Amino acid sequence: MNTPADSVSHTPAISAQAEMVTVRAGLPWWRLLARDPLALCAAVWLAFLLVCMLIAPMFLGKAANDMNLLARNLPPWSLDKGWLMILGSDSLGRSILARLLVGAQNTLSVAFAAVVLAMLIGGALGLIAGYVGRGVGNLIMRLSDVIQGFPSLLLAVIVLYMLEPRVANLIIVLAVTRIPSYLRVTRAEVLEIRSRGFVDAARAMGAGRTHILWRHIVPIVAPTLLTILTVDFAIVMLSESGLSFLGIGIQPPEITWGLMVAQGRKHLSNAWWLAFFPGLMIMITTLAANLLSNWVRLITDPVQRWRIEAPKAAATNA
Amino acid sequence: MPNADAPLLEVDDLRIEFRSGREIVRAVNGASFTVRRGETTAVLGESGSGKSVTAAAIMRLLASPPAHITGGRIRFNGADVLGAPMAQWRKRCGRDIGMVFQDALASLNPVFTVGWQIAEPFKAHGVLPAKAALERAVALLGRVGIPEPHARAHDYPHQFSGGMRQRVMIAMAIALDPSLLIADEPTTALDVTVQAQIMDLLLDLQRERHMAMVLITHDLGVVAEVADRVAVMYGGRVVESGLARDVLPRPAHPYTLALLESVPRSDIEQQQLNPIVGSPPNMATLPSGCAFHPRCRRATSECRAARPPTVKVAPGHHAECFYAQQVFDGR
Repeated sequence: MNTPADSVSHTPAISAQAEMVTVRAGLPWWRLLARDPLALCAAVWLAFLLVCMLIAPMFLGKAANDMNLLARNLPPWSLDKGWLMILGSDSLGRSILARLLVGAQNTLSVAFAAVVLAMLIGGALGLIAGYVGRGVGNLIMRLSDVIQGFPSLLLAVIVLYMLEPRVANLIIVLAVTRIPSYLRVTRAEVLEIRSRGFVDAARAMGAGRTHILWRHIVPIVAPTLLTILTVDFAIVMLSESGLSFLGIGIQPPEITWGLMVAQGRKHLSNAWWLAFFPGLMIMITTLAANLLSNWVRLITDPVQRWRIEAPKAAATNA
Repeated sequence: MPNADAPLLEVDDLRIEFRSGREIVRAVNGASFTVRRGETTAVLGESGSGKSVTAAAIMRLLASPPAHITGGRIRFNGADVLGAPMAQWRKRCGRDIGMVFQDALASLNPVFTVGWQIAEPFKAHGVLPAKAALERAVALLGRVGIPEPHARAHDYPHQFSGGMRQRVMIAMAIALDPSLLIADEPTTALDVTVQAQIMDLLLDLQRERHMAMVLITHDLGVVAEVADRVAVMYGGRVVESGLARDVLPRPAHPYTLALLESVPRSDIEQQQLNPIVGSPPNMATLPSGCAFHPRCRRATSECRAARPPTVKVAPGHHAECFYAQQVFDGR
């Protein structure tokens, strides 16, 4: 049974490990991003929107609200009335391009705040429901049933009718309706993870409950929540537009993409661009958020990370 | 401080049930054994004999429900384990008792580097700050025989081979220099050559740190080579116990005897293997009397009717069988 010293018996393995080390030797994230064209496009788009959110209202705020009744429903792709009218104008002769860029601020901040709020609350409740006792867990799950059972639009209508339709209220209402999906997924994952071997190993090593929750369970649940978050991003943008359409969301003269879709609906037969471009913005932004979140999930998962790093490793081996 | 001769770990008449719906599975039905400082006690038994459940009970890892400890006591260093408040007990886990699990891949968190995980005990117990803990982790990685520990500390568990992962687990378990190491089938999932290396490593560490070890295994070969004491489990009970050098050459329980006879041997010409007939008992419906009687060559009506007494066949060598003396004498 006595074998030679470990270091000796493992000599063949060392070269293989050295190889692994070179593969692993982490590339910085921006180089990995440069290697994935889709994720790069998504990141560039989102960065562009971020810049719009910050500076567009300053520079284009006036253009977005300036009416020009002589240039109503101007079709896109024409530079006759200046570059601001490249995407056409709406029924009051306002520049669609300017409105889209300025509207990014309201749209994205409401959607982002709502999904992040929903994720934090839903995730926290899900952790409690999955990790603490059965009684508390059941109580939380029934609460989530109530929210899910109640039509979310009706809930929004009631709340926003009773409270005034301010942005903060809107965010809260949108967040509440999205909480159950985070809650259920988190709870299910926690129930599965807490029976995994490394949780037992951590307990055997002397880790307390909070340590296990934060160090072993949360890091594994987080990527899943991030994925739901990006999908929810689109859903929330659309619900927000629905509320604006019903007249209880963000009100004109504020601009959101959803509101623009709603306002353009009347003119679909004669001026499709009124609703089309804001709709396109919602779609592209959602897509970009999805692509980027997918990429983030890949590079943060040590087991999957090689899928992005692999092309280079293959090239060096060849 | 208790004197050096006092047992480090005493498991006394431990009883554990798993309840699900109406079914009750009695996984452990009065297991008793002791572990002394610096000694290796092997807990030997077939799958389902209750050995891993016993180990989990010592670490208080059993989830309740479904597990219920219905009787017996466990003492570590003279102090009651099962009655201690959980928070207090967790502080001793890792520091006083380390545990190595069978499936090293499942027992390591896939999203953290091994260096981080080996450093975890230091951080969880607030012994060392993160940076110093990582340095210690690298040193430990080197100690358990991982080449290039500095580079490997930044790798993730899936980048290690099975044997290497088990070394990482061992490094985690011994990080805080516990006085007892529980190894729950540490080599079962590994190749035979790697098994030998891991056992060597465990023995080395044990000698170096004067650590006691509970080795849970079903591998008689391992027991014969490393164990000071052996406790043979069957049907959730320890049916025979004693010093390994007394028990293995001259067992006093028919089950131990059959187990030893079932090992294939290369030194004598053998026409066929000698398995133990029948299968391990269903723990939900244990046979009456001696749980081994349906498979025992010697079983009589007496064995079906009543649980056999514990017979002392030699100093420190006990067997739970009506015919222990006869088996011991080779009759």
